[in-house]
This record gives sequence, C-alpha cells and structure tokens, in this order.
Amino acid sequence: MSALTKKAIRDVTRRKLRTALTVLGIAIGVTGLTAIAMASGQFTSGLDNLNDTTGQPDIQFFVAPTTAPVADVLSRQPNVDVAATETYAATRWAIPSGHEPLAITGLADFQNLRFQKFTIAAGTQPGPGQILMESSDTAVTPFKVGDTITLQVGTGTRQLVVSGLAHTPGAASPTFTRRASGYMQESDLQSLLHVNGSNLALVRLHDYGQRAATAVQLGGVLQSQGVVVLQSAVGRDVSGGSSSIITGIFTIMQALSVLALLLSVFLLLSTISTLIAEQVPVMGTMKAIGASGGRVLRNYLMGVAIYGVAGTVIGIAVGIGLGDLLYRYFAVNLGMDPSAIQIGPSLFIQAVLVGVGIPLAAAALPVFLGTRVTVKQALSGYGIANGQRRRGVWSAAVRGLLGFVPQTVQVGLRGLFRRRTRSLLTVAALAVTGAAFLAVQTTTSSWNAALGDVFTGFDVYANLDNPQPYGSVQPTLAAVPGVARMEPLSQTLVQTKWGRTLLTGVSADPVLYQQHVVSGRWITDADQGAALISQDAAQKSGLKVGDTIDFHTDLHRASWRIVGISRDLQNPTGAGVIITTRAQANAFNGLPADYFQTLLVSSTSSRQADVDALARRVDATLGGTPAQATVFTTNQLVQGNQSTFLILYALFYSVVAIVALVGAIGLFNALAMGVLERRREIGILRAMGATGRRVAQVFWTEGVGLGLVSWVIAVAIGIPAAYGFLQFVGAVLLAVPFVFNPASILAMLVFIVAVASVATVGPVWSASRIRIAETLRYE
Amino acid sequence: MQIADRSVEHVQASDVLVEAEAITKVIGSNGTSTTILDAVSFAVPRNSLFAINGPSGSGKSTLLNILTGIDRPTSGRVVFAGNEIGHMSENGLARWRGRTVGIVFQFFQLLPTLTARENVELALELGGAFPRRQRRERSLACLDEVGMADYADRLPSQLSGGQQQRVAIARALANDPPVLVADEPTGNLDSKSAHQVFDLLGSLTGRGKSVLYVTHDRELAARATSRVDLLDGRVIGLGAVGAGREAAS
Repeated sequence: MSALTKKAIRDVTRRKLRTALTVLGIAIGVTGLTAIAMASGQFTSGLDNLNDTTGQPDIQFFVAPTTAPVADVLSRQPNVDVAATETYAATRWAIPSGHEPLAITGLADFQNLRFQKFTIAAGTQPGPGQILMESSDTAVTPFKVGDTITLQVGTGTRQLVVSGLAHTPGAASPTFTRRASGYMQESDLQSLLHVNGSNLALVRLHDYGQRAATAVQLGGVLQSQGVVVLQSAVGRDVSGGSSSIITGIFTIMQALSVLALLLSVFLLLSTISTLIAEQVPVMGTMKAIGASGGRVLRNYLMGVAIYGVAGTVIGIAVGIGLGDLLYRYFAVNLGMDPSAIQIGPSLFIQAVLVGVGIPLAAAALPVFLGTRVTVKQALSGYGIANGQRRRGVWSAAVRGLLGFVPQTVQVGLRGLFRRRTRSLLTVAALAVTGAAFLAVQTTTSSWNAALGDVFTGFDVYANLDNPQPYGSVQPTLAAVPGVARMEPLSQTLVQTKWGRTLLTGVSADPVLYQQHVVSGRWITDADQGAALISQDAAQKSGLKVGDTIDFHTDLHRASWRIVGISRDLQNPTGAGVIITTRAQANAFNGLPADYFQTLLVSSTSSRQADVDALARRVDATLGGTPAQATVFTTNQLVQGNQSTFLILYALFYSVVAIVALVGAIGLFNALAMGVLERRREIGILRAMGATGRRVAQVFWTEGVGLGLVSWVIAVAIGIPAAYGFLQFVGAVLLAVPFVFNPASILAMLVFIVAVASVATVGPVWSASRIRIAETLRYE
Repeated sequence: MQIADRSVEHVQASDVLVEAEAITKVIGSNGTSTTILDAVSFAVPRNSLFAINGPSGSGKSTLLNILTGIDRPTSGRVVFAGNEIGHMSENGLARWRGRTVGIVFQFFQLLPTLTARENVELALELGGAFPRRQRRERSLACLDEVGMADYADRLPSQLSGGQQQRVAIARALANDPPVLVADEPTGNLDSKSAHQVFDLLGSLTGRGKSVLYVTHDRELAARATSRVDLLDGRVIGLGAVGAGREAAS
C-alpha cells in the first residue's frame, strides 16, 4: 500500500470519535433512504400483485336478498368474464371491551373459489354452526381454533365455533379497517340472517378499463330482473383506501429521509473543513517535498470516500433491516405476503450513489479550496492558525454591550464568529434542528387540535351498518337514561374530480353537529339541489360559494349549488365533506327521507365514567334493533385516530432526534476544532491562573452562544417551515388547519440549549484538561 | 561595515549550482510597502556547504523560500542547476522540488500519521526517482545513512527532536537530489543534537551533495565552505568562509 494511501486511512482512523460521528451521520442518511426505498417499492409491487392475482372482483353489487339466478344472468352480459353470488352479513362480535363489527361472507363452495381466494392457515373450513375467522382478527382479541365466539345478529345472538383461521390476500387488518371478518357456509349464514337468497354479486370483467360503463349496464340488468340494488363498488382497491394513506406516509418518510441526508452533508462539510484546517501544515509539507495540488486533493478525497464507504456499508445493512420491518408492519396489516421481500441491485446502487457520491460531491469544493493553499502560506502559519485576523464588529459589540460580564464569558462570546464559515455551518445545522422541532411540534399539535374539533359537540357516536328510519329508533333511544340530545346523520362516500368526498345529510338546524360556517350560509329545509362544502374540499377543488359541485356514486350522479363553506374535518384524508339536508342526501341515494346511518348523542353528564356508561346503554339499545350499530365515545374516537397515526408521531420525533444528533455533532466538531486552534491561548489562561472550570466556561459560553444565535434564526425560519411542512403533509396525507402554540418557541429554546450543552461536554472537558507545558512549547 | 560586492566572480561558472540574480522581494498592504530583500545576488558552488547567515529579520528565510520555489520574488531570477525556476507553475515547482531539492525544515514537518520509513517512502512516491519495487529498500537505506534504521517503524511522536530531524534529512535524501536545503535545521534542537545533525549535513557534501542552510548562529555559519551574509535584506558579505571576512575587514 502506498504511503499516500496509508496517510489517507490514518487521517480518518486517527480521530476515532470524529470519524465515528461522521460515519454515523452518513449512515443515518443512507439508512433512511434505503429503508424507505425498499419498503415503499415492495409495498407498491405487493399492492399491484394483490390486485392482479388474488381474484379481486372488478364490480360488486350489494342487493336485497334474492334467489334469482343473478350469477347466470350477469355472466351472459358483454364484458363479463366471471360472475358469482355470495351472502354478506354485518354482525357484531362480542369481545371483552364491548362489540367489534364483524363482516361475514357466506360461500356455497369453499373448494372452487372464484373471488378473494384465501388459504386456510389453521384448522378447517367451516361446517354448520362454525365460522372460519380471518387470521388478523386475533389482533382484536386473542382467540384460537376451537374457541366459541358470540355474535349479535339482528335482534338475537348466536354462538359459533371457530373452525379455523384464514389468510385472505388483500384483507386489511382490523387495526386499519376497524372491522373483523370471517367465512361461513352460505346456507348457515342465510339461516342466521333469516333470509332466503344471496345479497352480494361479484363480477370480473374482460376489459377492466370499461368497468364504470359496465357497472351501470349491469345495474340496469339487475333491476330488470327485479333485483333491488342497494349499493355498488367498482374497482379493485383491496385496501379500502388504506393504500393512499400508506402511500402518503411513505412520501413523508422519503421527504424526511432527504432532510436527514442533507443534514448528514452539513455534518460532513463541518468535519471536512475541520480536517482541512488541521492539515494545512501537512499539505504545505507535502507540496514542499513534491506533491502537486492534484495529488493532495485526491489524497483528501480518498479520506472522504473512506467515510462514505463505511457509512454506506452500515447504512445499507441497517436500512435493509429497517425496510424489512417497515414493510412487514404494513404487509401484515394489509393482508400482503410479509415474506415476499426482494432486494435488487438498484437498492445498492442508490445507496452507494447517496453514501459515497454525495459526500464526495459535497466535499470536493472545500477540499479543493483547502488544498490551494500555497506552501509558504501553509508553512508560515505553522501549527494551527489562531483564527480571526482582524478585529470585527462582533468583538467590538461584545466588548461594548457586555463589558459587565466576566472576561471568560466575553472571551467565549467573542469567539463565536472567529471562523465564519464554520460558525455559519454550525449555526445553520442547529437552526435546522430547531426548525424541525418546531415543525413537528406544530404538526402534531395541529393534528390534535383538529381531532378535538372533529369530535366536539357530542359525547357518543353510533354508526349503523344497516341504515334505519330514524322514527323507528328515536323513541327507544330517547328513553335511554343520560341522553340529553340526539341528532341523526346520513353519510355516504361519493366521488368527485378531486377525490372521495363524504356526503353528509344533517338537520337543517343542528346543535350537536357543529356548523362553523366560514363563508356563505348554512343549509335550510327549503333548499333543493344545494349544499355546503368543507374548507379542505374548497381548497382542493377551487370551488367557492355560488359554484356548482358535481359528484357521483357508481349508480347515481348529481350537480348541486354551493351555498356555503364550512370548517369540517370529517374527511381529512379524503377530499372533504359535502353537507346538505338529510332528506336531500337520502334522496340522492334513493333511500327514504327519514333514513339515517349515524347518530350523535350528547350526555346529561360531562363525567367520562357517565359518558362511558351512556355509550354502553346506547350500544345495548341499538343492539336490539336491526341497525347493527357500532358505538364509540368521543374519547375512544380521538384515541383511535391518534393510534392510527402513531407511527407518524413516532417517525416525526425520531427524525427530530436524528436532526438534533447531527446538529449536536456539528457543534461538537466546531468546538473541538476551536479548542485545538486555541491551545496556546488556553495555556496562557491556565498560566495566568484560570482553573479548568474557567477555561471550560469559555467554550461552554461559545457553544451555548451559537445555540442561542441558532434559536433566533430557527424562530425566523421555523414558523414558515412549520406552516410549509403542515401544508406538505396535508397535500399527501392529512389536511388540517395550522394551529401554532407560541409556547413551542420557548420549548424550542430549551431544546436547542439542551442540544448545544450536550455538544459542548466533550470539547469543554478536553479544554479544561489541557496541560500548560504542552500548549506553550513549540513542536 | 562595508557592503560587500555582490558579484559572483570568485565562483567559476562550471562550479555554480544555484544562481540568484538581483532577487528583490517587496511586500505591501494598505499603501505601505516593505522591502524584505533588495537586489540580492550570489552563487552557490557545487558540493559546498553554503550558509545564508543573518540576524533575525534579515530576510534569510524568505531568500531560502525563493530559492526553493516556495515563494516568488518581486523581481530577479533564480537559476537552479541550469533551470530558471521563475516560469514554473505551482505544480511544476512541486514536482521539481520532489526531484531536485531535498528540504529540511526547522520544525521537521514529518507527517504525524506515518512512521519514519513511511515518511521517507512518501517522498519517494512524490518524487518518482525510484520505481515502486525499490522504494522500501531505498527508504531503509536513507534511514540507515542517517543512523535511524532501527527506528524505521516508529511514529514521529515516538522520536526525540534530534531523531525526527534525522528522519527529515533521510526524507530529503530519498530521491537523491543534488542539493539539500535546510532552514535553521538545528534551531529546535539541544546543543548535542544540533551538533550531531549539523555534522550529518556537513558530511553530505563529501557524498556529492550541496547543502544550503539558513542560520543566525555565527558558529554554524563559520562552518560553511561558502556563505552569504544578509542584513536588512541586503548582502553584506559574500564568498568563501575566510575570504568573505577578509574582504569585509
């Protein structure tokens, strides 16, 4: 190995802590990008695989139970490849904490499945009195094959024995869907429901692109056969909308990974500038004994490449592991195959380009500028240069304004901008740290505020799987002790040009359903073909009061006039809300005017225990009706929504921790270099009587001073950064109003000072232990 | 004291290794200028132990830097072994130094992360005078020449000042340059080490080398076979030792 190569290696390995921290910074950037690229790529291909290979139906019709030969009729229609019928039931599964919605599919033939082909992971297919549960249902409450579960069906209950556990590709976990699922013999299920005939028709098409038109045509065919179509679903979204959320999460993760990588580059630049400053005399010597500028440049870039290779190797290994964990988390919960991990060469190529290429590109200019020092300059500045060559405004300001503080503190403050480039890099990294903290704090507090806004005004929320006439349940519910007020809603997801919107039918003069009109007016009973839209729907569509909004389901279409815009966060991950009267909404869906799907209830007592008891009473009351209701308190709804985004909360704060680590490392490097450069100064201070503590105070002051300067800059950039980040998250995932808590600025100050203090520990300790003789002696 | 004649008549042209012709160095900032060297001319004979002597601030280190291409004169020229070095680029000068000039610094300037042998090998790698397969042997031979072969695998931090300077001399000899240049080579050593190092430098002239050294020490200057004396950037004495003093008195 040549002497130059040995030098490059030893320059890196000599300062073990600095090398470890620099390699760690690069590894963090590579880890993030590798993990996200791997998991998101695998997730996307897994999702495509599910859609293509599991036999998902292209169109589903939910109909009134019928014995008509629906499958035969549909299979003879143009563009229809395969048609089949099943029986579907929405039941309630009694679990220790209450009831969990349980969707049961009744199949006539378990051997020749044409759609949603599942495998039996344990046990056997169900016989009479048995149910085959989806394996992911064990996340709701633990159970095993052979256990007995209790179902509430209509007004009665039924006990079934679990015959086995199924794995249905594409079946999302109850963690995401909040609904368990299972399979029974079709005749057994129909007997349970006291119905005669199937109520679900499934169709696969020859030409998937014609699905919308074919759905309308097939709907007409069914009607001509006397089959009542209640609802239809067109398309193969196996995740039921979860895929768009997960895709949004991956997009945010990728953006945060890029941020972590940029900060790694900051860290690398700080390290390289420190290394170059240390090595100036060595560069001069090399040039004096025959090295050209190019050779010196290549030698130091070799050192950067060593950092990069080490960081890349670690980053790839950890990134693949994390990517695997990340993919498995989503795969298990979305019914994908968690073992189908593929690691392609593109992953390694990307990691090398990022981990080695970017550091080399970033370091090229500072290394080039550093190696341009002439031999004379390098050798005449023998030892480490002491820094500021001219007195600046800053020093004069410190002297003038802070003359009353101890000299050791003044020395620390005057040293803040001794090395401008280095100080700027350090301040920039710390400011980004503070801004990231503020952005995440603001995002999470905005989300929490939005959740509070959504679930406010009522105490209990009941959702009905089987819409009912309100008049049929209102007297019974009104008699439930603790009920102060009730308001029925009808809610349907409809399609608009900009996404899925929640069509909500409310009372003309609601009390529990909050109005929050921001422009225009509220809806009245006299309105026909009119609605309000939510603020996020207005933002996405560009529509305003007086415009017309077009929307449709697979079977119905409408164009309504916009009379107002309200702040309504019922559908934050979708395309907003359309608010109209319940009568209009039911008319759009072809339902009687009095039907409702959702009930808001307020309690006479505000105590949580009383609200919980009220929810149980409402649950028991609605359980005795055909409604098949699921009842929650607002507390449960808020916690449930928060837990859904728990991964994002954890992710955001993890990124803040990483950003803080990189900022701290940058400050550590800068202060360590300062200690090195000012060894002689330190020796003189010690010779004059300064204790180790007083010397340490100089550098602690410098470190915290840089932190405070960073805080000021972070305040200036952090608030717009927080707003921008919230808008970005809103665009890809969850749009909520910007809520800024001024206390976050103080929290950020504490955070930055803590980070700066931690970063100063090493250099301060080193400075306090310097021996006088070593510093005042010429080498 | 008379300012001696700046001519180089007493040195035959064929014996001249280095010629400095009217070297002037002026530095200035903020409208003021300072003349570091003022039309310095002299010739360095081959195989000589040549001293550049003068008190602190006389310009001797600046002159040495100009002779080795580390600095550039404001006017004048340097002809080194028949080559005028003033027209060379920085990289050209670096390569030229690697092959032609062995430099010994006052503060040794060994690379701290390389062993004694590796420091010498680095010079061989940069100078390119020996093929790769011969470098290890050559480096050990150079260290042996200065009495440091037993310390070949030690880092500079594990060597005394005198030992480090010997390694620096071995490094300077690595590419077999015709001339060694030393800037206050004993300035950072104790008296015993200083004598040993200077004896070593002096012995190199017997091996066909020319040694050019800067010193403010009169005793060391007196050991030169030729010298130039500077004061305030000007030559005040020139020529062979003994001859120069007679001329001045």
